[in-house]
Amino acid sequence: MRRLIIKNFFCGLKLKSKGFIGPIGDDLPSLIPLVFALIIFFYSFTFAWNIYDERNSIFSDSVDVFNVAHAMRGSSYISGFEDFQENCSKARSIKRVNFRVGLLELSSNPLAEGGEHFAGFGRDVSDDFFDPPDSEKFECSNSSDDIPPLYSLRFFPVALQRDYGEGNDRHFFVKPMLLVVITWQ
Amino acid sequence: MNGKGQASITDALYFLLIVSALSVFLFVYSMNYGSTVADQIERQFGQEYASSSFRTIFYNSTPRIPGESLEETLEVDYLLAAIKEDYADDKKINRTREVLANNIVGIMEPLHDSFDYAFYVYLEEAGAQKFAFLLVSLHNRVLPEGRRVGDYTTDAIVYLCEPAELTSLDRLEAMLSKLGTVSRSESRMRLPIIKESGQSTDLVTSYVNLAMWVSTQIPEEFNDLNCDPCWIKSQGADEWEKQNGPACPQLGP
Repeated sequence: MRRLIIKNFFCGLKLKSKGFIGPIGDDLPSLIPLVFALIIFFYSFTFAWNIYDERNSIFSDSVDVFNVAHAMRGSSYISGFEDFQENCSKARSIKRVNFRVGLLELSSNPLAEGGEHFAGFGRDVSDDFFDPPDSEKFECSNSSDDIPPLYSLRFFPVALQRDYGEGNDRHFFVKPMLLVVITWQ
Repeated sequence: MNGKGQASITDALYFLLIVSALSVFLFVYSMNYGSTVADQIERQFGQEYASSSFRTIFYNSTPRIPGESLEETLEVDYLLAAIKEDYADDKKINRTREVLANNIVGIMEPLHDSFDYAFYVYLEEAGAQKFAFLLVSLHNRVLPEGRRVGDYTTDAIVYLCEPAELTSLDRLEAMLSKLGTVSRSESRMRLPIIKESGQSTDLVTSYVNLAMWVSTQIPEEFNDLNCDPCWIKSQGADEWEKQNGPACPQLGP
């Protein structure tokens, strides 16, 4: 009887200990691909989410630029500074975004010898906005902040009516201008 | 126990395989996410720029006396009115040709580095389509003599065209259809023609078009449009150089 108990004890011990290192220890090798898979999944999920977020933000900025440009442009004909200011008030009702809008002069004789040319613009474009001596600067903004390094920009040609001269020489004409729209969050 | 261990590692490997496939799908999807919307936004910008340019060109003023500045002159006209007046007497846009070309190039200058464009006015006369005005601005890549292949310079060229064939509009449309995304704006314009008696005028309906596209290789249909290079701006140059082709304006400043 004593021998049987000892035999059973050793047999049992032998059976239980064959490759078994506990309920977690037994699955330890399978945890490696599981953890690896989870890392891959969460990395790609975060990556996709960031891309989604970033692109949606870009699209939202683009739509905002178009909305501001629509409000400022009207029918592409600006009949003077008052008209520009009126459009500016409409654009200011767009609250989601900060913007700065202004007019730059376009040339109407670039092909002529010695003709004027469009000089292009950079981030400090507001320094070059059209500022005639007989009226205020053609600039509209809903923010006094400086333009940050990350901004959206679009531009569209418009026709600007100008009154010129005095007395009998007073006349009006229409000049091509470029409406520059800069928006940022 | 070994059997159980093998089963769980196989399950884990299957799980890894499925997750990897899902991750690849997620990665590819996220890389392409919004490309259609981005294209649509660019198309919208092109379309709005074309439409704004179109209106601005015709709202513009031009001095009655060529060469005077708008500030100095006492008589100004809308460009549209000047074109109509020009067309009325001889059914040609010739005196205002240079003014119109100047206005078009001036308004398209902000996009000039990367876009090509065509501006044209056509009408139907006796059942056939006829161009009253056709301007095409292109970038031409040239390989200067002695330079290596790939060392190109890009010249900007403004062509004025006088297509002789009646099927030229089809050729132009065929050319435009091969240029990828083309932003267009079209409008109708009534052109007056003074009758031979000189007492009254007829009105003909013409169609004005502005088409712009990202600068690319020009299809061979362009050669059928009978175009002359009238202004050339070499790479790095500040000024346009006027040429003397038969279709180029001979009048004006």
